[in-house]
Amino acid sequence: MSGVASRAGAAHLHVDWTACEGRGLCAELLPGVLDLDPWGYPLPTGDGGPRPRWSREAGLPVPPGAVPDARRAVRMCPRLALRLQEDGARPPGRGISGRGVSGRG
Amino acid sequence: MTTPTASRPAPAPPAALLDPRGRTRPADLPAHLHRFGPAPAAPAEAVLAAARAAGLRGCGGAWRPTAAKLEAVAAASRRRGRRAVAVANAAEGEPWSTKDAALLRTHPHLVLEGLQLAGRAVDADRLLVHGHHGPALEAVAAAARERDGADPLPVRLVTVPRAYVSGQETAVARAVEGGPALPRPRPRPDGVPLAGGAPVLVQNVETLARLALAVRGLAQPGPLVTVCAPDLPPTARELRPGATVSDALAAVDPGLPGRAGAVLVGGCAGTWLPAAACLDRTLSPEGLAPVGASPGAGVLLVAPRGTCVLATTATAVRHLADSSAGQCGPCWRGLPALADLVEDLAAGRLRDGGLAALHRAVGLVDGRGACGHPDGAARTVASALSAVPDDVPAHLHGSCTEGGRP
Amino acid sequence: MDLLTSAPGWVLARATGAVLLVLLTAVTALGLATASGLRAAGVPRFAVQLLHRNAALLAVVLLATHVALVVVDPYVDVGPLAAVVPLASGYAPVAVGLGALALDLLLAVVVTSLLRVRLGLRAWRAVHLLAYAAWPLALVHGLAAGTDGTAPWMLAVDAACVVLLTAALAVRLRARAERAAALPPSRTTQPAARPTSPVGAPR
Repeated sequence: MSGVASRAGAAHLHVDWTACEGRGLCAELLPGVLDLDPWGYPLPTGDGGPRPRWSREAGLPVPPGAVPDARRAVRMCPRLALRLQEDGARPPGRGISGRGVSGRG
Repeated sequence: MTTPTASRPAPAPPAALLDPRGRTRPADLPAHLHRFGPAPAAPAEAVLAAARAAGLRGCGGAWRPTAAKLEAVAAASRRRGRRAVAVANAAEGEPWSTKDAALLRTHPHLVLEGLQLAGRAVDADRLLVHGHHGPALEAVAAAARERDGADPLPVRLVTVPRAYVSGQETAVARAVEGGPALPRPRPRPDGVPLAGGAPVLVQNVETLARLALAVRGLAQPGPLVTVCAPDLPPTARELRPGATVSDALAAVDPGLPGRAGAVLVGGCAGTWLPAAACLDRTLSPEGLAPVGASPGAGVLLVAPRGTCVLATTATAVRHLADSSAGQCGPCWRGLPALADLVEDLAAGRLRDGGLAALHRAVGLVDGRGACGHPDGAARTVASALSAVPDDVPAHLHGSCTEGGRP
Repeated sequence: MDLLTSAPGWVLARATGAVLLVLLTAVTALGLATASGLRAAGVPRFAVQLLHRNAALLAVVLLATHVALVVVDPYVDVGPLAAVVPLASGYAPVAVGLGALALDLLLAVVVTSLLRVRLGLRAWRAVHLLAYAAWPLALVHGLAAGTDGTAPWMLAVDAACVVLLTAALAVRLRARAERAAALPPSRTTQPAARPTSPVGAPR
């Protein structure tokens, strides 16, 4: 999943799950994009439908109108766990581990 | 298939890697050389060609083509101007898998040769064996001592805790750096893990043994599997090429295929399939993909008829929950919650509203973590629910169709 | 005390010092509140975070004022260097020195916080924890160097600050203990691996 088709005019939000501690500022600053799970960790909003999966490789698409808020969320995250990959930038990472498969060689 | 070298025809392999009766007695160096012949002095290109010709794929669970992986690490090494590190991954984190340990205790020299060859293919300057304390690692250490002076590079052993995530590639790279054996947050753009800036080749020990056979021009043996059941401890077996799931079960107990109700293909983070759907599928990614499964590290957990699939799933998910690296909130919070719900369902304590909560809990762990660990648990639970569609409503009313005590 | 006979500059210096202690206590308590993950009803977390940040910047301004007033005061021999170098003051070198040390630490905290995104989490956090050292230094500096240091009203303020900070710290530590208790067993048994000496000398 490269997310190329959705990249025009949008940005992609990436989360470092090992840094995130569920402080919840991101969901407050991006109410249309993120909710919180029962333990306070960010969850993509479903907009009434099924929740999109937060792709490890492509990140979560952020609508153009929410990009300034997303930048603020990245800056304000107390754990610096968020990264915003904006239009035109190289995709941050495509690993060998496919969906749900832990590569062990 | 393999291309035999000009001077040596490929013999039809008898059990090349494992003893058919499960005995493990490490072959010493003379016995090893007598059995397989001398290790060829193959340059890097020849090693790559052999891996490609044999169609080798990784045997650690991800089934990535070995030649492509070797090339990727070599390219990363050239690009970064740093010599690579080659690691033989013996950290069999999958709790029900014993094939790697059995292989190491039978043919440690084959694995060490494979490691030297892989190291040459990526121009490594360091070779490591990454594993857990125990007889398997001791067998490797003894074999390495026996080889003293015979190989281009010395081998170091790295011991890591017997945790599920210890064998994950980025965890191995981190351990190589001297850190804890825990997965890293982000895969790198080229998929090659780094340890202190040096590219790391992580190869499962079975893959390396197969590489050593391929370079000699010997035919590849069939898959190595571990079969277990509630009344059967994990048993490693080597199968003929093209073997099916039924062959794997029969290799351990001829009556097992007939008794099987459902099979968890791929271990505790695998996919449940009703026996009828999988018994005659070939044990390969291509054979199992059509039914939505993958062989993974070759673990087949059998739930015989009369055994409750949901109860077995509960045990598997609880193990996964206890094995979380504890780095990512949705995993170490979400997996215990999921395990609680699955246990409730298996015990008949869950009522109708609880099923929706269970589905929600699956969605809360799937894809939310630095590595694929929680995804595996999600897969096991989701596949269990669809493998026994009649049993789920029964459990919601406090009974079990397999007659097991819920 | 001698409020009416002291020079207005000196009075202002003492006043800013007292307010600073209260402000720094509030800033630290807000920081602890954010870190403990608690949520006050109706108050968004990002608002608490912004308050922590802005109060800290206000404290920097107030600190600059406090230091400037002390340095220009004609009756005490505290040169500009003594503001940042401990023990460089002519007047009460140890007491003023503690304040200088506190200032140095706070400066490091503030500068690294402004450059947080560039520094990365670990480096920023390591320096930020120095705030825990800065606060007691500021408290003792006030007790020792201030003219009102041991005045009853000042002691009351000090006590209130200590109580508030202890409470905030207790909340933070309890949140951390709860989290540690919930972690899976495997997490706590992950010793770092170390390679053995090489086996098999090379050809």
